[in-house]
Amino acid sequence: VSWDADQQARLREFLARHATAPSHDFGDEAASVEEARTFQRALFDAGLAGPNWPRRFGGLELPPGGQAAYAAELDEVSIPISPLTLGLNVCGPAVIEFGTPDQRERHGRATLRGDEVWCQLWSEPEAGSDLAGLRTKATPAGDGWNISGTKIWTSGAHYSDYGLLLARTEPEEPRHRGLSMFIIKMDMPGITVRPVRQMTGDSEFNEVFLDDVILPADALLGERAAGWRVVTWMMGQERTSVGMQLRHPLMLEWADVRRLVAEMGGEHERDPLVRAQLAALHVRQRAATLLNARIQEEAVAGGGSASLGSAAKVAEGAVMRDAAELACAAMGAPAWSGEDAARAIAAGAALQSPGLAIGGGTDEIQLNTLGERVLGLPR
Amino acid sequence: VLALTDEQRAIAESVQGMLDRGWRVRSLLEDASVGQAGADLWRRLNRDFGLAGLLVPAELGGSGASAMELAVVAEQFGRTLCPAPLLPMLGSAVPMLVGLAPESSPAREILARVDAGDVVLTCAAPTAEVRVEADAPLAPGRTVSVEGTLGAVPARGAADTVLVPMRGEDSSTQLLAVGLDQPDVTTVPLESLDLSRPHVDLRLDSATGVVLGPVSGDVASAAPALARLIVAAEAVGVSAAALDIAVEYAKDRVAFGRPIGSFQAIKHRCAQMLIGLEQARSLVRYAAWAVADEDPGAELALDEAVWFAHETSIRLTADLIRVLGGIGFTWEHEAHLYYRRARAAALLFGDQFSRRERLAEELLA
Repeated sequence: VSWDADQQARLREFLARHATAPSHDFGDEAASVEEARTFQRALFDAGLAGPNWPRRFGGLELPPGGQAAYAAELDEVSIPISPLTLGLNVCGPAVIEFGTPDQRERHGRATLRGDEVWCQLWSEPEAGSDLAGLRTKATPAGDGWNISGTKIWTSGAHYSDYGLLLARTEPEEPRHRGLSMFIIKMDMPGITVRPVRQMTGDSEFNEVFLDDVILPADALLGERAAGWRVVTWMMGQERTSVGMQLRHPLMLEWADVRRLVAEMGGEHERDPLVRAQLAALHVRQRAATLLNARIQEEAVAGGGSASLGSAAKVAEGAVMRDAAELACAAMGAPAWSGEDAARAIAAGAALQSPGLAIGGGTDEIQLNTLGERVLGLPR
Repeated sequence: VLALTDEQRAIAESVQGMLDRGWRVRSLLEDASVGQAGADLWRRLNRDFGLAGLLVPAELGGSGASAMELAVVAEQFGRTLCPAPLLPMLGSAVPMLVGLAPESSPAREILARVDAGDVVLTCAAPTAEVRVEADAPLAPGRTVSVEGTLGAVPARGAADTVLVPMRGEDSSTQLLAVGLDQPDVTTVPLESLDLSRPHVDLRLDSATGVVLGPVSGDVASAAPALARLIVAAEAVGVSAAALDIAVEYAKDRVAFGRPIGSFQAIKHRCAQMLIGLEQARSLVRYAAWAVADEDPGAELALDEAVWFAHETSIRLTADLIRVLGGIGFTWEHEAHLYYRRARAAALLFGDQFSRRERLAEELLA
């Protein structure tokens, strides 16, 4: 089934009626999640959700051209689905890709409809970049599994219904060969979620303590000891999915920087060096954006290298760091005060920006990935 | 529009194949007859691929391709530092002739001879330094006597005819064709930073020329859009070559008992080169689409692509030399040929400072 003009018109009409920027302040997460669910449910019920999802789970199963046309419609508007993106683009598709028929029936439709919100429980205090060294144990217990360990950097753990958890099932196997992926319900007894307060003062991530959490046998996703395959697949999915590249609300785009410099910078706006930096920033932002768009276009068309997504991530992070830097520097001494809105925005961006080279895989790891998987350099 | 179509990929592969078979970059180190090699390559590519007619509309006998295909071809030219005169030919000469063709039979005639491979053209910058002896209007087809100097004309030794956009006092521009093989044309070779793209000063002393007709607009300007696009796409090709050579060396070269590419100092440098290259490529593809589509944002897109592509190729060719170490600093290694091209190309049609200032003016207006 292809994407026809009629569907396109229906989607456009739907978005015209329902699309709104997230109406809640960054930080009011309960309200944001509810808003996201409401939007997604309406989209699903209108038969317009899941451009790349199978039809049997309520998706549109569009061919590449249709997915591109669908994405182009979304680009034109602002929709409040940020808390759902992990489930819609990564976790849900992973359950469909690797799950048993039963798991797929249980979670497929519910995830696409926004009824189930998902998080990923991967990193640990002792295993970040070196994910394959993780220590959370899954020990056979009766018919099921006993999970014990600590996870960290889990976005949305406190509002998610389910998580995909990577744990060690074969302690005698080396590193990534001993890992398995589990579907875990986030309100199980033994799960404690503690927010991590970031250097910005906000808490977007959590530490998750797992103390003798008992999971049923059918919590295993994919083969036992095949967790690394699932996690690698999910990482690729994350980088190439339509709509995953949501900008962090604290980060600045070129237009923001330009406005801040004009509002607060006084004579800086006429300074040739500041002008030169603004021009360069614009080009670099466009370069990173177009690279990302090209990778997605190639992925939809069925070509290109998924690992190249790492290049877009590093490039976009660098651009946003420079944007924050320029905004902060051009605003002069009172930037530290945070007494007015513009200066608080610049300071917020400056505080957020170091995280861009760390979250979602550090720049250093991304560069390794590019060197090894794209360029074929030896490990 | 950012991903290559199957057809564009096929064009890239076929041009790549022809260049890999017919041209060795290293020959630039060995002999100075790069002009002759450029002419031979041009004729071969034209015969096998119809290169001269790439952008010529189908109704005039060309293949009617767009700026997007041109960028694909130019990237391959950059990758191999191909000395065939793609830039003056498809950046200026052929577009001007195509524009004149409906009104000018001599322009049609030259176009046909270009197509047949009988003529290889180069193009002078629009100039007021050239005069003709004429008491009657300069009708197309008139033979005139031409005086003046043409500075830094590309395709030394490859072209046999130069097209001269001559600015008149009334600010109109007449296009003249002047054969180079006549005693009244003196050729002064210029020492070039870029060994693959030699230039020449031409002195015309009562040289015989033919009036082709009046030209105007972008094609007759000092920096036509297609010429800037070719240079930017070539810069992407130069960057791609720099990365290829660096990676190949990093896999083979062993130090401290390991291939140097396994060290993060080298691996990360190569990865950063890749990030620059792929961004430049994306900007150039977008600009090519915008030019082909006559998008209102084409001028800005092209300015951005040109600036970024040059920044990238200059950085990547320097990075290549760093990855290579000592061997990269020698004459025998081809790395400096790419480095020279990157540096010199950034000075065609402007420079990086003025490009960035122009961008600032466009963006901050």
